[in-house]
Amino acid sequence: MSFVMPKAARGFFRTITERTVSGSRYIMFDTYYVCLLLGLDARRLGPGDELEGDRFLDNYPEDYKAQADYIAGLLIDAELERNSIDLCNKASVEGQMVLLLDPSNPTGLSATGSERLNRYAVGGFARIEEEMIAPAKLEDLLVRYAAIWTGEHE
Amino acid sequence: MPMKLRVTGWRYENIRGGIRDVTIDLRNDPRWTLVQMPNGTGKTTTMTLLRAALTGVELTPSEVSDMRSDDGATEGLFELWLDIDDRPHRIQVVLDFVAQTCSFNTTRAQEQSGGSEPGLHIPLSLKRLLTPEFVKLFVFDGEFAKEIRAVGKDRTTTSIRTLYRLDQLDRLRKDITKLVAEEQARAAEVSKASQQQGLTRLSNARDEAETVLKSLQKKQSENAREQTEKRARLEVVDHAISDRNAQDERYRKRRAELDAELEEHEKQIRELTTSALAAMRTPAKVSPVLLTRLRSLGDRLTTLQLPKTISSEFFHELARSKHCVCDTLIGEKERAAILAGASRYLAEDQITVINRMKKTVRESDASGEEFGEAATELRKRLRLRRGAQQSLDSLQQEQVAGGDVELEALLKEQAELKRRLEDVSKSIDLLGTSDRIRQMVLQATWKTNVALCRAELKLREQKLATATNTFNFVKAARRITALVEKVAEDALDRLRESVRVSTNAKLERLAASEPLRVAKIGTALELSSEGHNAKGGVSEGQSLSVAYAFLTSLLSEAPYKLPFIVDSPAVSLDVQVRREVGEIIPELFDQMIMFVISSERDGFADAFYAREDVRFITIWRDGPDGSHMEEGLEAFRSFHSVEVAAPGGKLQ
Repeated sequence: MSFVMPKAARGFFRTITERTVSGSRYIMFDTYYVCLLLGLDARRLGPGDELEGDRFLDNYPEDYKAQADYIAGLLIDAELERNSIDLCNKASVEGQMVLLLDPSNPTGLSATGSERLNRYAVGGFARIEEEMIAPAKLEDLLVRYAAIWTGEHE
Repeated sequence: MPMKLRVTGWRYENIRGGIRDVTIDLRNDPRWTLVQMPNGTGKTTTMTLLRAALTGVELTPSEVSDMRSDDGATEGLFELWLDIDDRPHRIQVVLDFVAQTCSFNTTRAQEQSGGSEPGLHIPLSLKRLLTPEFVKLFVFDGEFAKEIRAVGKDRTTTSIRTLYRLDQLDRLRKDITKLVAEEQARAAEVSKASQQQGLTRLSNARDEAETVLKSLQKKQSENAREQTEKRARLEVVDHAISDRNAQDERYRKRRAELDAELEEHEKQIRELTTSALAAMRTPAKVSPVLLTRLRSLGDRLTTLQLPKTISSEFFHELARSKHCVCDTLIGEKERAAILAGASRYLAEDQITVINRMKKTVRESDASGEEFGEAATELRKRLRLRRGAQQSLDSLQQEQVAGGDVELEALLKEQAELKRRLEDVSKSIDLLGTSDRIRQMVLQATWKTNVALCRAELKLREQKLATATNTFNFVKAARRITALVEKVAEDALDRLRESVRVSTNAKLERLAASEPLRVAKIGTALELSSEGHNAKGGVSEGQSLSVAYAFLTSLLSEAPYKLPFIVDSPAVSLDVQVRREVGEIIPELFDQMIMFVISSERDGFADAFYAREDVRFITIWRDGPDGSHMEEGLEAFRSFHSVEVAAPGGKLQ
């Protein structure tokens, strides 16, 4: 299944995406990622029909390859809580990991794992839309995104 | 050069009648061969076998069965010897009397192997000519004479078309049709339009893309020009503003300080943006909450002793064993249970991922605060820049308020130039980017982006070119097909007329006293109604005369030199006509083989007695299972009396 973008996210970040400004380049996967982290944090699984029709990437881009294990860990963590899995029950916890991981895929995730990840991105994008306006500059995004995490407001 | 077919002999093995094991050898090339065979000796059988050998059409089981010499014979053979353009061919018709089947073998002397090959192998053009219907024209019997005149059988026109190779024009037409279909199929992959209406539509579509491209390129060039002009002007205005500040002692120092401050802020913002973006891309550095969760998960897994040291592979392997590790025998039930349980265990590669994840989290030196800290610094720096900018604005406003009208105008122009340059920059980006992802981000289309428009124009040009080529191709093919049809039609009309005139010229000699003439060659020979009822009133003899006149006219000028093989050529003709037939027809063919009975000698066969280059053969049944053959005119002439003198067909 790989990475599928939340429908409205591309337009929301269009001004800053794939442009090199002041030596930094904000890539398309950044958009997916900022949505995803917020969705995982809130355990907020968005509806599948709010995803674009096609995947935009099959694998992590170079800048993110080293983060694959963290992202897998956050997905497992979110799913354990969302499904109210008893964390003392070894078999149940192992069952979730069996369900979500498949190292034979480039992303290291099973089809179920990819599908859940994409839907967490949808959930995260909903949170972004609630808390910030479309960024005009990369530095605006960084400041506002950090504010969402810290709960601070300018 | 016409293709030449000549019969150089034939032989029979185990064939019923008086021909059981007879060999007819014509390799000394007689022009005329008269084979006298009493009724029941095998004339009809020979004609059937000759036709089968020439066409390769298998005989029916009952035909095969009827040819069996006796119950003891399991296999029979008829071998026809031919020279095709002087190259010897031997065609065997092999009869399996038990299975009642028939098969063919061909031996061609010129072939390198020189061996026998299964099937009929003669030159392709001859094979196409020798259809069962066509072969009846020159391996001829009286029955067929009636068919030539039968409306609806379509013997005549078809014969002319085949013999004079007009069917090759049909093949040409079919080839053209096939080429058109292939071209259309090829073009359909690019465009479905091959009609004029479709071409117009594609042409309009191409023009539209061309117009859009020109318009985008014009806009692009205008944007570039405007950007250059506005940037140059902005530089001038910036300098002019700076000069205005510098001219006044009260503002000069503050202006210089603010410029330096702004420059430092810009530098810091660039650096902080880079470091904040890098931190954001590491989940463990985004938030302490995320880091804590990752560490808790790692700890939880460690507490649960996950991943286990036993993987699902262990159970799959165990299921394949006969005994468990505890030596218990593993039956089907146990095996199913082990395999079902295996799916609940992590696979080895999953275990590796989890262990790596735990290790990455454990060894991470992140605090979870990195992104927040970088963003906070960035926010502070942005505020400072904003403050410095506001101070600069205030300074300029102050100067304007002090009465510097020129500065006021310059600031207004500066603001306007910046706004416009931003718009132009966006427009240049949208028009000019050829980066696929950037195009997607900007939701560019072929109507807003030059690169996409070029690609669209190329596609439309390709569709138009393909459709145009196909359209022209189809038009040309239609013209050629019409021409081919006209040529075929004209040729057929001329040939029919030529054969008709030639046929009537012969009929004038064959039936001089009778107004027997061919009025038209259509699907049948239509006789003129003068003195006759076209649908009847023609005797069997007259019918045969017409057939001879037609066939000799048809075959004698054809691009193939074929033998004329005829069974009972004169039996139904009256003596006068026989004489005419006997005199006219032999001159028209390079080879004639005639199967006659003794009653045909008078008036017909005797016309050959005085000729040279004639071969006389007499064959008769010799006892119930035997056959006898005698060569020469004497035996031929005297056979009737012997036959009469020896009832039962035996020669005494």
